Amino acid sequence: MFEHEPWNRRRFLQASLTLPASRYTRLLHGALLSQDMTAVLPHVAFLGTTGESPGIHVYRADGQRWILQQAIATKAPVSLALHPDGRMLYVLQELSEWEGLPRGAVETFQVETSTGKLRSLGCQGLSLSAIMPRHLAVSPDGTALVVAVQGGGAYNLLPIGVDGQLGTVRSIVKETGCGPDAQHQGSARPQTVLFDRNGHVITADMGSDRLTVFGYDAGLRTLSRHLLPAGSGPRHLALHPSSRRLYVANVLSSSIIGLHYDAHAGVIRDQFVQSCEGYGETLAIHPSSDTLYSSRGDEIAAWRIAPATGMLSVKQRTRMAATVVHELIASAEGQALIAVTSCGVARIRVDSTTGALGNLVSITPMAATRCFTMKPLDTIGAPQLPSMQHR
Amino acid sequence: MAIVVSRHDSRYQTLKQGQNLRWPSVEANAAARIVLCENAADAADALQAIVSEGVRPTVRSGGHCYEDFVVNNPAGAILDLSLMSTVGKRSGESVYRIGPGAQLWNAYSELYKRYGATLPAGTCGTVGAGGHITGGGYGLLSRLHGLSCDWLSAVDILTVDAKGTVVPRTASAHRDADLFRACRGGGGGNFGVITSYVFDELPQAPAEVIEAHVRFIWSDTTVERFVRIMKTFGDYWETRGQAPDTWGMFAVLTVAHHSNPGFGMSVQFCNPDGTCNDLTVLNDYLDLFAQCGGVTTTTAPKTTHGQPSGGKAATPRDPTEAVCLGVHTVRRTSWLYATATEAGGPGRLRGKYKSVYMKRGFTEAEARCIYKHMHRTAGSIDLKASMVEIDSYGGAINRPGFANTTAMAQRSSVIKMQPMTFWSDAEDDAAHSTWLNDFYTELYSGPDSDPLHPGTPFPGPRYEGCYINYPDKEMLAYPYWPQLYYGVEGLYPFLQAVKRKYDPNNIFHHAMSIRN
Repeated sequence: MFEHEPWNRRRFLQASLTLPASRYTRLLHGALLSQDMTAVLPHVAFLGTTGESPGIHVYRADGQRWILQQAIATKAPVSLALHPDGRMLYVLQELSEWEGLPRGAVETFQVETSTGKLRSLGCQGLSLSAIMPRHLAVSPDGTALVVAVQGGGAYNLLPIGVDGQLGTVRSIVKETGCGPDAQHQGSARPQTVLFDRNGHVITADMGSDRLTVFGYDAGLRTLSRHLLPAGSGPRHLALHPSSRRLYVANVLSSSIIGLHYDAHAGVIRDQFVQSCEGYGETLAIHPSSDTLYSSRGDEIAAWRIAPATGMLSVKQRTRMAATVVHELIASAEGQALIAVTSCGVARIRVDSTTGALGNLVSITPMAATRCFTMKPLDTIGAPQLPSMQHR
Repeated sequence: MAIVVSRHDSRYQTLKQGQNLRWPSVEANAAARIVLCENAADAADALQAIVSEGVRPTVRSGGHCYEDFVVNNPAGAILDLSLMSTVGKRSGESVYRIGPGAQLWNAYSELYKRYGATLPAGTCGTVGAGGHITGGGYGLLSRLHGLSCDWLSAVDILTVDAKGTVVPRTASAHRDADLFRACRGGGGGNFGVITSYVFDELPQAPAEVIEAHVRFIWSDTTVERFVRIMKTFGDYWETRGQAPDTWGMFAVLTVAHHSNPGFGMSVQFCNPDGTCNDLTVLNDYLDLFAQCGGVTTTTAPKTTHGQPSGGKAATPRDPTEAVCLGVHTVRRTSWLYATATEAGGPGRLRGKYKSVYMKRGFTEAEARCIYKHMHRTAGSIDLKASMVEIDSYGGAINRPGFANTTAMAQRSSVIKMQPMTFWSDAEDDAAHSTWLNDFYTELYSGPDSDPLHPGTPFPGPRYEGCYINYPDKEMLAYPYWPQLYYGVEGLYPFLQAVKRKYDPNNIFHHAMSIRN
């Protein structure tokens, strides 16, 4: 069923080493192109790296041509999110201690409009005990940022001012709960936060096998809970563009499930996809073609979503041997799937009509890549706030 | 049913804060509610509700926490146990029980009147038993009888399991023994909510004590004389003061800032059998200070921070009798009266504190450093209420065996010292903290300090770290802060294991709680 030779770390490096010296040099500072890809608007892309030299690498992406603009040091980036108007980049720091206290932090960077270059505006500490945070998301209206805290078993809400700066933690939800996997489910371990179009916060807690939907005003308030089968270990979420179906990647049971979702009430309802074995780590949904992408380890799969029922059937599977996929992102134009891997960022051609995976079109090798986000350059700094409903 | 005080309640503004008015530091850090519990069932129900709601609980017994561990709890809930203050034996039980909210003075009084017994206990009468005992707890009788936690036999405690369910336990040497050990000095707010402290036995209170006060005048005290006073004090407690016949003597030398006319030392004495029949030890001790310019008086130097404490019980009738002891005039009085007099709290001021355990007496360099900073000013701030309290230590505290059965690692010290400063205006917060930090850092950066751990009394030949009941968040700047408070012999890893086992969700946490 595998359609491609595995895209492995060796191939990442081989691709660079077979280039003429002039192009190799360029590779070190930018991207490798394997074949043409339909031109898209220039983007600015941000890669967060961990390891010996943690930092954020800023690229200007003109189609396949990725040029490094800036590399800026930071502590331990694990998750990135842009403000809806692109003025600010929020970087979640996966720390067990910040300023001597047991907590992680969020660093705010101002994004330069014309280039995407960053300037640090400082860090905001999370709540006490909010150690080793895992994921953050910004509300669609740009007024709040929510963090899933894996180490501390909690969620934090931080207000975002009109200037894009973060306030101190406004709301804390301290979770409890455990599961049968003693190694991974000894306590609550929130993994993912995801805003729906109405501003509800959908969360996945690997430790307690629980999904929670929060509303927020003065603080986070629980709208609904949904308990998954014991030992599932939900890690990642993808909301269908219709907002009526929620797909969950369960890392411990290596499965994907689908659930009906009421975005009006913020309630997760019955499960309609019982369990698709395998590929239960990270998810992405194609913006227009009813295709779900998933990964596990170095494997990527494309699933057809039945329009009427939401049921999944596998379309394609492929591997990126020896490189762990941390994150999948479907480009807004529907022409590429971006795989954020431990060796860098791979861009895979996607048929914008069918969602089918094509060839690997370019790679940006970067050791210890952990997180990624991108945005069209012409939307950086421009107001683009969607209207909010049912807050 | 617990009493819930939320923001609209008229009691909220008072109850949202503790004794140290520095906290909550800003209104946004204040707890959303205070839940006053009257019994263990109340506490269990309230704790379950708080945890199920996803809210952070902090636990308060007497409200004397030096740092922000309890009242800086943004949108959280303070579980207030101050109404759980019963002291005594239940019908049909032979053990003593002390509620977490019992203020120490009331515990002394109840135990004395009912049983003639006492806790070795602290000096500050409005301190709650809960914080006192879980942090170790020492006082004027500790050299004679050991620490409060040394006498502890069991605790009734509410923990929260991995599922978030409140679990009532009775931890003792025979059941949940690891948790029990951790509660004997590991510090409050770490493992659960203790609703009762159980003692199979308690020491008998002395029949009477001698009190003596020695006054020193700054204008008469050159740096050389000051060094001599400090060395005299330190040398005594390092050597002679560790002999069992001196264990009934406790001295506190309070070196007040030079903006006061002088400073002084207070001594409480009894023989090891609780009588005052043989005063030779005391007389010899006081003689040492007469040679340093000290003047013995029957009245304690006015403590600059000892404002009247609201929680103090009425003191008994003054039975004091002036006694001539050689050239010294001292007071013979009842132990209960002496303890009541000593029981004043720090008052409702703003305060900053540090601590150090000393295994040796003072060196000249240390004494000169203290002298220097007690003469140093800091801009326009008033340092009249800035001082170092230097307590005699050791004796029964250092008896072998307790280090391994309690969570108090410091069992080799002869002096315990507490630099501190008090003030009233919030705008002086930074200046007072800076003055104290500068003093402390220099004191432990001198020639007697561990060069690998500058600025701290890291455990070694001279020092034995700091006291968790005198917490100081400034020490978080040192990555080895747990070793300062819990030693270098493996106690902290033990406490971390207990934390993971009994509080897997880290429900109970603060800036200096045991980190899992």
